[in-house]
Amino acid sequence: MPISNPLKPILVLVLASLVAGLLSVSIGSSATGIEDTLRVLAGSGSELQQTLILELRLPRTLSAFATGGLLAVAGALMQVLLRNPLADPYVLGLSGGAAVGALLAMLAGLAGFLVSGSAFAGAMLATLLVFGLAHGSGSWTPSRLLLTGVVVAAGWGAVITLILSMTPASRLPGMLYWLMGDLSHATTPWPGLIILILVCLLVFPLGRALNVLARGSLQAAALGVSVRPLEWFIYLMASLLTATAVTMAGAVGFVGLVVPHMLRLVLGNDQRLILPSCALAGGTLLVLADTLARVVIAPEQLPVGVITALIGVPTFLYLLYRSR
Amino acid sequence: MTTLTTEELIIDIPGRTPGVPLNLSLQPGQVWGVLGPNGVGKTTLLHTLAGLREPRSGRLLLDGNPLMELRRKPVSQQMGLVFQDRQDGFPATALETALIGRHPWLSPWQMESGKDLAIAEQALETLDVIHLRDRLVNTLSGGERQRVAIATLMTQAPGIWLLDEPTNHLDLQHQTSVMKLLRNQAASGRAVFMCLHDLNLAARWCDQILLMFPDGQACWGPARDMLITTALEKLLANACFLPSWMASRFLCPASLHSDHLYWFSCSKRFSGGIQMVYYLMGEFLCVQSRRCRITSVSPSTTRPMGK
Repeated sequence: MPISNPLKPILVLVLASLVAGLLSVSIGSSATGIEDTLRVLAGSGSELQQTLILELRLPRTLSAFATGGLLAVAGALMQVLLRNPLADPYVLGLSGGAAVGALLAMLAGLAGFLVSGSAFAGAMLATLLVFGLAHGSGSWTPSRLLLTGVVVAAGWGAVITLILSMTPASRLPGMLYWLMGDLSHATTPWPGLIILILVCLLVFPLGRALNVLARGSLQAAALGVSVRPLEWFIYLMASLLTATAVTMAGAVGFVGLVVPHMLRLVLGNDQRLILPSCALAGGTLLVLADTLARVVIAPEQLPVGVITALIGVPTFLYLLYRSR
Repeated sequence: MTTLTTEELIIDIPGRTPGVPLNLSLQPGQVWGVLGPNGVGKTTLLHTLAGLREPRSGRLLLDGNPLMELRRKPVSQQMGLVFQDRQDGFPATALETALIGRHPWLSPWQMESGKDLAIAEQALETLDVIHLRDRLVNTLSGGERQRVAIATLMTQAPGIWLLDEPTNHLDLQHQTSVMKLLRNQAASGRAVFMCLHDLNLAARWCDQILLMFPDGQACWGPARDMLITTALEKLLANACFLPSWMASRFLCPASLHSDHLYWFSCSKRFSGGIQMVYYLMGEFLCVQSRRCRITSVSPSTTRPMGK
C-alpha cells in the first residue's frame, strides 16, 4: 500500500473543501470578509449578510460541491466498471441523453423543475439504451459497452446540434449555458448531497471488490466476487450520480475524467480511498471553479464547465508529466 | 482438504462437437498435468472446473456439493486459478497484486491487516519476487509477472490450485522452483491441476495426466500409464521416435553438463517402468523408450511412428 495512513489524505481533502466553501461564500459581487462569513454561519451578523450568504451563496456553493462530487465518483466507478481509464459518464452518452431531455424541455418553453426532470429522464433513458444495447445477446464486455456508449453519445450529439439549429436565436444562450454547465439555476443542493452521501455509503463496502474487479472480471470471479450483480449495481449507481449531477448543473464536463485520475496518480488505486477522495476533491474543484466563474468577469458569469477545464487540464497534465 | 470431481463433464466450446465426457477426481495430494495441442480446450476446461463457465453438460462437485450452485466467495476460499493472460488496466504494485488474494478471506468492511500483509509478503518471498514488491506490475517482465500471479494464488491459499501454463515466460531455473513449489503444496494436502505444453515438465512433476486430443477424445490416469508412445504420438503429429543409441547421441552433449536439464531426471523417475527420454528439436520430438522397440531404423532413415 503506497499510503501508510489512509485517513491523512481524506483529512487534507476535508480541510480543503471547507476552505474552498468558506472562500466561495465570502467572495462575490459584494465581498464579505471571512470573519463576517463565519459570524453569519454561527448565526449572527446583519440581516443583509444573512440573506446574501445563507440564501443566495450557500445553496449555490453546496450545489457546486454536490455536482463535483457526484461527477467525480461517477467517473471513478465507470472507469473501474469498464477497466478503461478513459471512461467517464460523458463518454458513455449519459450526459448527452440528459442534454437532449433538457433542451427539448427548453424548446417546449418549459423552465425550472420541468427542465431538470426532463434531463433526469433523458439520462436514465440513455443509461437503459446503452446498457440494453451492449447487453444484447447476453455477452457484454467492457469494450463492447464502451463502444456502444461512444456511438450512442455521438448520436446524442447530432440530436443536440439539430435542436440548437431549430431553436429561435432568443432562446439559444440559455441552452448553450446549460450545455456548458451552469450552476446559476441550482437552488436546492439537498437532493444532490443526499444522493452523493447515500451512494458513497452504499459503494464503500464494495471498495475491495472493486479493486479486484479492476483486474478483470474473470480474475474477480475466481477471487469470489459475484461479478454480474456487482457490475449492474455499479452501472446503475454511476448513472444515478450522473443524472443527478446534470439535472442540477447541466453538462459540466471534465470533472468525472480528471479528478479520479489526479487522485490515482497521487494516492494509488485503492477504491476505498479513491471513492471518498473523489467526492471531496470533485466537490472542492467545482466549488473553486464556480467561485471563479462568478468573479472573473463580474457582474457577468462564465459557465462553470469552462473553468473546470481551464483548471483541470494544466493540473492533470502536470501530474501526468511528473508521474513518469 | 478439498476434492473436486466431475461427472460426465463436457466442456462447452461453441461450434465444437462434444468430446468425451470427463470423469475426473482431483484428490488432495495429486498433481495433475493437462497436455494437448493448441485450441483443444485446455483453458476452457480450467475455467469450467473453476466454475467460471457453464459446462455443456455434466456436473461438477466440490466436496460433494454442486459447484455451480455454490456462492462464489466460499468457492474462492477452496479453489483458485492462475490465468494465462492478465489485465492490468490500472497500475498496481506487485504487493497490492498479491494482496488481492486475501479478498475471499475478508469481510466487506474489513481492511487488510498486518497478518494479511505478512501472508502476501511470504508468498512474494517464496516466488522470489519480494524485491519487486513496490514495483508496478506493468513494468515487470513476463516471467516476473507470472511469478507475481502465482504468488497471488499462494496468498489466496485455496485447497485446489488450477494453473493455466504456470511455466509460461519462466526461465529454466524458475520453472523448476515453481514446479517444486507446486509439488510441496500437493504434499501439504492440496490438489494441483495445470495445463502444460512441456512433456518433460509433465513427466517430471505430475503424477496424474489428462491428455486431450484434437478430435475431442481424452484419456487420463497415472502419469506412467499415460506418457506412453502410442498416446503421445496421437497427441503430437510431428512426433518422431528415435532408437536409443541415436537419441542418446543427440542428447549427450547437453545432458553431460547439467543435472537440472530434464531428461536426466525424468529418466530416473521412470526407470522402474518405462524409461523415456524426449527431446524437442525443431519440429521433432525424440523419444527414447525401452518399451518402444524400433529396431529397424537406421541412422539415415528415421521414420515417423504409426505409418
